[in-house]
Amino acid sequence: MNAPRAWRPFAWPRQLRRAGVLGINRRNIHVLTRLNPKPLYALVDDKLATKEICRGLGIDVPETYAVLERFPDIRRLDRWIGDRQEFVIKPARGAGGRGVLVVLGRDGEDLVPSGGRRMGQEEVRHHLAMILSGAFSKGGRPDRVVIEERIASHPALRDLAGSGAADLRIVLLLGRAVMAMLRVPTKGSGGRANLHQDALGIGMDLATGRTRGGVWRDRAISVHPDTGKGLSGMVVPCWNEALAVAERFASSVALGYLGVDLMLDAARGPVVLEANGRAGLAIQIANRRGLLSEVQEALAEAQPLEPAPAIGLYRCP
Amino acid sequence: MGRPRTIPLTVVILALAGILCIVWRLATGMAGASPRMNGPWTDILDLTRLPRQTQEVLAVLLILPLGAVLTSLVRNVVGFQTFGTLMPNLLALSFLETDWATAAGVFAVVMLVGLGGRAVVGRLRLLIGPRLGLVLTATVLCLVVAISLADHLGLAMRTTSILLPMVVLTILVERFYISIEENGLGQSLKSLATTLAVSLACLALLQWAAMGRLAVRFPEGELFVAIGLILIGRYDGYRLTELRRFRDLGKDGEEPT
Repeated sequence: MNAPRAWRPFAWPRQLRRAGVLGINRRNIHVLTRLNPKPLYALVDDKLATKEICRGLGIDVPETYAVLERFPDIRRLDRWIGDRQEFVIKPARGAGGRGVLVVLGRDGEDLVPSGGRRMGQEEVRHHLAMILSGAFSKGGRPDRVVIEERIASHPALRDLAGSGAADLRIVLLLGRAVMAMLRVPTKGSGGRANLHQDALGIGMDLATGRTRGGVWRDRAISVHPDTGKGLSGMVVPCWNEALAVAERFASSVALGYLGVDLMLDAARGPVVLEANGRAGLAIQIANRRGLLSEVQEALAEAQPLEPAPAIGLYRCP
Repeated sequence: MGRPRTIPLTVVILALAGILCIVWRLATGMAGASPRMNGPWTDILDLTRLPRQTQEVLAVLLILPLGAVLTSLVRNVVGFQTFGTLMPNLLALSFLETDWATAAGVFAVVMLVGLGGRAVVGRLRLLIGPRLGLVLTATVLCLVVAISLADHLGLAMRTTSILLPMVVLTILVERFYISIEENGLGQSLKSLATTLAVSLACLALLQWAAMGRLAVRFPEGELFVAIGLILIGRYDGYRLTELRRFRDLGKDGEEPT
């Protein structure tokens, strides 16, 4: 299906250096330590904090319906969601899409999540309790539940994403977008758009907003693994706006190496879902090029980072 | 990419100190041979004067950092994940006092009850803390029954030797569970296998008698271990697993400037 590719069990380090691939050790030792001051991670690790920042910058975010902080709140779930049919339940500090429940509809008492079987009341409550007790947060710290608006895929991307929602990951160095990819759920990813959960990543041409080949399970591919459709040449809508939003966000949080995840709403334009201060490296495979040269430039010109201007808004939670 | 100047400086100082120690030890004939330095304080540095049993304990302690080197190599240079950097070492240490049959038995019980218990306890929809406690309880029950049964059948068993392995294994099972929630079953099994393999290697190191004698004779060898750890900690090249992960990006031709 995916064009005949040579059997290739590995590449030599020399070949990866030639391609300018940024490895994980180099990212951790040089990039994260020099471009991302530790205290600032709190701004992006907590989705509610990220939302606050976005609101202050005039960046669109999904509307928050409710935040559950304590176990008794779980019993009032019905009141929180009212008669809404579609919404998203997510842990405030979850990482990698864990614990996220995208509810597409309701059937009496039951919820119908995307990419999974329907869940009864009791099951949903247990899921909420798991989130509160920190099952999905880093280091198992107690967490909060965010219930928020579900943003639908842009019609132009619906063909590609199927029933799931495709989002756009933009990686920025010192506030400049340097690489981007569309993240598309596949059959195996259970409606989620996270690459290590089998989602598909599609590289983007930054200048034109056109797609080119993709990455799936760490392999460079040229057609969709489920549908067999070609992955290049598609134009992503509101491209320049998306880049501008990501750059505005990144330069304001002052994390020098940042991934911003956003969705493109047909009516509203780019809507920021979350940001990631330790963005993954598979985006390089999707784009068929390495990040190393950009990283070296950024490190060469990096001033000691100034923290975001204190507008009270940026309080760490 | 600029590497802080303190790194080479530290490495050089540590290496010089280590070499100096060894030279001094050889020159004064202190390396275990009989004519000893009889200075009032210098004999502190001579571990071979200590009773045999103390020496054996010290040998184990002195080799532990080597296990840390091994684990860091596997994590940062090879690229396989283990549950914690010190876990393989701790596991090896806990099994050191136990004979192979007991070790395998305890391991089998804890893993089977732990893994099987997860499936059953998972249905109860408990929060993580109590859930782990419940698994621990089930493990304890099984072990107690097994020990009592062994005694009934007239099999002798050194029961004190299972306490430490039991504790460490329970921690391992807990890490494993949390990892299943966080990274999925496949990745977690891989990490578990890596952790066990590395701790077997650590165990082999700890039981290596010649290495133990060498470590007691030249404890300044730790300085070189420290150098190794610093160098691994600053290794910014590709991990072995990345040579595979990024294989589709590999390029022939000129290196970009």
